[in-house]
Amino acid sequence: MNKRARLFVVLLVLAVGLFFLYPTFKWYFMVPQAQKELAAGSREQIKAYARGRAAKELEELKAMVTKDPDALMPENYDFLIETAKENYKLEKQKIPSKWTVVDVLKSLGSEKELFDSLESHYRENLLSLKEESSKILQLGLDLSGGMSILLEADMDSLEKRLGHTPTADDQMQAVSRAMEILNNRIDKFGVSEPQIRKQGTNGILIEIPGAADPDRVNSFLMGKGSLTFHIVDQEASQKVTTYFSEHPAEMYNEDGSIRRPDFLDPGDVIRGYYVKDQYGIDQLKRYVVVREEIGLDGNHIKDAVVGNHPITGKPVINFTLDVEGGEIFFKLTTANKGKTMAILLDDKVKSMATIQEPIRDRVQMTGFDRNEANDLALVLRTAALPVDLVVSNQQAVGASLGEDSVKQGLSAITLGFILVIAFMLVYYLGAGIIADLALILNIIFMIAVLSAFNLTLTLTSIAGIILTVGMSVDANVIIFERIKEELRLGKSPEASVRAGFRKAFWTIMDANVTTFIAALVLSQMGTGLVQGFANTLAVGIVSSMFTALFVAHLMFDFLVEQVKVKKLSISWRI
Amino acid sequence: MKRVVRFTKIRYIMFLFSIVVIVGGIIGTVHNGGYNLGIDFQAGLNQRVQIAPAGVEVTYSGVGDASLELQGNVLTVVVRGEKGVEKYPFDLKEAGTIKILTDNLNSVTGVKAEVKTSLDSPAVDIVAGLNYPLELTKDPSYLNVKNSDESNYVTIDKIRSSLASLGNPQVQIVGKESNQEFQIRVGDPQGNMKQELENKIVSLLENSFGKHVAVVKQSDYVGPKFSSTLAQASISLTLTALVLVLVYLWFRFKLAFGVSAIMALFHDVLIMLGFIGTFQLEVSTTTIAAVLTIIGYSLNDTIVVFDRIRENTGLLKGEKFSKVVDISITQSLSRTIITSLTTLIAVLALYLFGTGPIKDFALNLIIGIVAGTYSSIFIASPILLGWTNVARKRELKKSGVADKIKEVEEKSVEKGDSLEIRRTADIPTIERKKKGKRKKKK
Repeated sequence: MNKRARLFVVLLVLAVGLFFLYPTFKWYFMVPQAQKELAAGSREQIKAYARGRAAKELEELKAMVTKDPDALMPENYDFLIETAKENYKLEKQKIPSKWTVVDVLKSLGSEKELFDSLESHYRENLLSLKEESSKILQLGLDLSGGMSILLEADMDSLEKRLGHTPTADDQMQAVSRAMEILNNRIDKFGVSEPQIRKQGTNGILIEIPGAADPDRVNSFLMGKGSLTFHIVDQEASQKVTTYFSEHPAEMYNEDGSIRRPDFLDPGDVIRGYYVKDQYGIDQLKRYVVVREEIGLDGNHIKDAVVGNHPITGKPVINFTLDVEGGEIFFKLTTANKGKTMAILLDDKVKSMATIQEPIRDRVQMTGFDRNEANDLALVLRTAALPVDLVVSNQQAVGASLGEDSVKQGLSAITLGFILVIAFMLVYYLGAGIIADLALILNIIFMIAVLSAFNLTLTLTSIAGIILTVGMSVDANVIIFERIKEELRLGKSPEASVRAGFRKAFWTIMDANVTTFIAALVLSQMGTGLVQGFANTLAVGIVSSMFTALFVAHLMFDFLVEQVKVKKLSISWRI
Repeated sequence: MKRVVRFTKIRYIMFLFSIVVIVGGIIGTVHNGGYNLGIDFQAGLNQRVQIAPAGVEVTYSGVGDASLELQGNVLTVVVRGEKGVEKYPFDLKEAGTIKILTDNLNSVTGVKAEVKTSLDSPAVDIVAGLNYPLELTKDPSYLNVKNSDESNYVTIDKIRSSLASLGNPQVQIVGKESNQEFQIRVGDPQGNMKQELENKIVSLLENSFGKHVAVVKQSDYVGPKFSSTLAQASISLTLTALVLVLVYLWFRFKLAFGVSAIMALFHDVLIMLGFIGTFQLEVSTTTIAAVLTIIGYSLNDTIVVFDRIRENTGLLKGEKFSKVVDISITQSLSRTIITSLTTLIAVLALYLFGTGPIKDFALNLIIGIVAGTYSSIFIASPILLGWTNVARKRELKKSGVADKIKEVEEKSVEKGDSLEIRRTADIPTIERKKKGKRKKKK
């Protein structure tokens, strides 16, 4: 490869690294704390905030227009100007050079439309921030705390499943099994470094780093059995809808639950059909009557994959049933051909479809948004929980290491890093600059990869980074010492650099590959600390080899071949 | 050529030294009653405590028994007397201030309540703990009221220091700081001291922050963070990793190199563990990280030297192996020292300026790095040398050239040389071929 191509590779890798680093950088250094807290709230909270804020600003704007319509639009409404610009363009009007309040509001239409623009601005802002927060380098429980969730095993559900009153032994087994499954699930959900332990006799205590989204936590507690298939009674559904619209007063019981009209067949139940709104919150669309008898339950699902619908492009879940489930489903769909089937999740109707033909084991379902579909498919792929788990307490917890020790630890790490950089400069002079550049690049690459894989930075992974800093310096030291040896033999700088890199190559390779093997094996360790350490180490090894053997090599070649230096600045004396 | 330091000459002294250190570490650990396991490895008590000063003092001197219940925002006085059960509910929101609530309580016959905090504290700030329903007797009971005075907040550091006598409990803030709620974890491996620890935590907190100030909101037993199954899995995975490393080294070098590197690694880890046990450093999850770090470091350090030995075996034909080893160690010495030095600088900064677990972690690493550097010079290569010598002798005996050996040995003794003179002829041809190929590839 010529030097230009090599430079291109280096720049490309650097660009990719910075690309992945940016969200993390933005989150920790550019997003104000208040925004972070808002984004960490539930979707309902975000909705309330966005609506409240929009309503307040709508009043403000209205006041501004009455006061002085020709005043310039204040800067904090710049986002409205953007929308207004679009609208002016659409209507092919001349875009004013200065945006006054009235100019902007004129183009935004009715009060309702203005409110929508304001609301959607805040909604998009917070929802995208929420999305981003799951794509950054999280700080672990030890460094910055997270969320602690206490789950209680619902022994009634266990009794139902076992068919008899659970003994103490049954309970213990169910809880341990549930812990195992949760461990496995949480890992698959991409939460790294959680802590799961038993609390009391039938409690499970989970701690998740970062500002965990309560909705998401709920999704991995879902039981497989909460997904059920029912046949819809279309006729009754129609009747119920008509009846409710004619007698709105009859719709609810005193406690707000839906009232069951007398004419309903004893085997039928009313269920709500829910569709997600723009905030991702379930909104009731209408009521549907389904047969109470479960046509098939989710425990028969063997495998589930998320795909896209060929026509609508919306997410679909394709799943495969086990043999028994296939048999049940085939009978069900044969008997009910032409009827509608509803898919219920936690007793909410998520989607409905007409049975075109009998189906045996491969089924497709729609009606979920992307995240929900992914989460559900993950749950369906893992084993069923032996007992229902109920969240009994959910709270944010602070770092398990003291704030002071984290602070001091971080400044000590920084200081150590600076000292290493200084040492290399003093000992290797000019070549030290190359080593230091390689070292800094190495850190950038490592953090970028760690952020890209959404890994969690704990004290132990920082240890991994320290070792890597040591190793990345080591690779450079090996190369430099070799080059010095060659120079001592009286070779020219160019020949020395070439020989130095050639001879050091396999030394560095062997030393790093060995450690890499160890790191790779250790990263197979389910979840937690050892894995975190191994991941960091593995990433670090690859990046330190790249920086030493590729980046530093390029810089040296540039010095001796392009600049044609007479003397390499690599040591005080040779 | 540079002067060659005869490192291998003192190898037996160094072996002895290492054995003494390792055995000393084992004795020290056993003598001190094994490892000082931290909370990460122990089951223990998980207690949530809210710091809230006693706001109202309540006594009951009426007929029968009386107790206080708090459900949501309703505080109820329940009297079980001659007339059966009577309930007097008071809505905290309606009451507004503590003063009015106290007046309400006083309206119940036999109840005497007295405000101990500022009269207009909001009544909804009353917090209830596990001791509810609160039995009211002639001796005063206390209603705790959330601390709303920001300047008076108890910080997490103060909680930590007040509980310091319990060993090293883990303390975390629960929710916002204004809640003044803390989660405290104390190790209790036997699991028979729940009551005792619970009371101890409360009394320690009250000693530091005032009487009746600690409201226990939850108290439960939790399993260890790092369970024994997890520990076993980690150990077996580490061993698997080492076997794979051995296979790689066998393939890239020779079996003898692999075995020596692994032995040096065990040497380093044993020294480290001995140190941790002897000086009773707390074993936490970060200790595991430190051990893993040193495994990586030790391998890296050793292999760089071995690589030089392999290279020199090809270059210095005719030299005896012990000399090749010495030359190789000498040549890579500056690298070994500089690398150890840079890593040590980083870790020393952690040790000197870090606190708590970070300091311990850094100390573990310092021991590991020193041991690793020492072993790559004085242990790994000499083991390799010993192994090669023994293997060679055996090989020659097997091939029925015992007589020849004797002959050669006698000759070499005259020359002041040992078996190594035969190496010239015996340098494996495969090794040389491999080298040739590698050069061509580049």
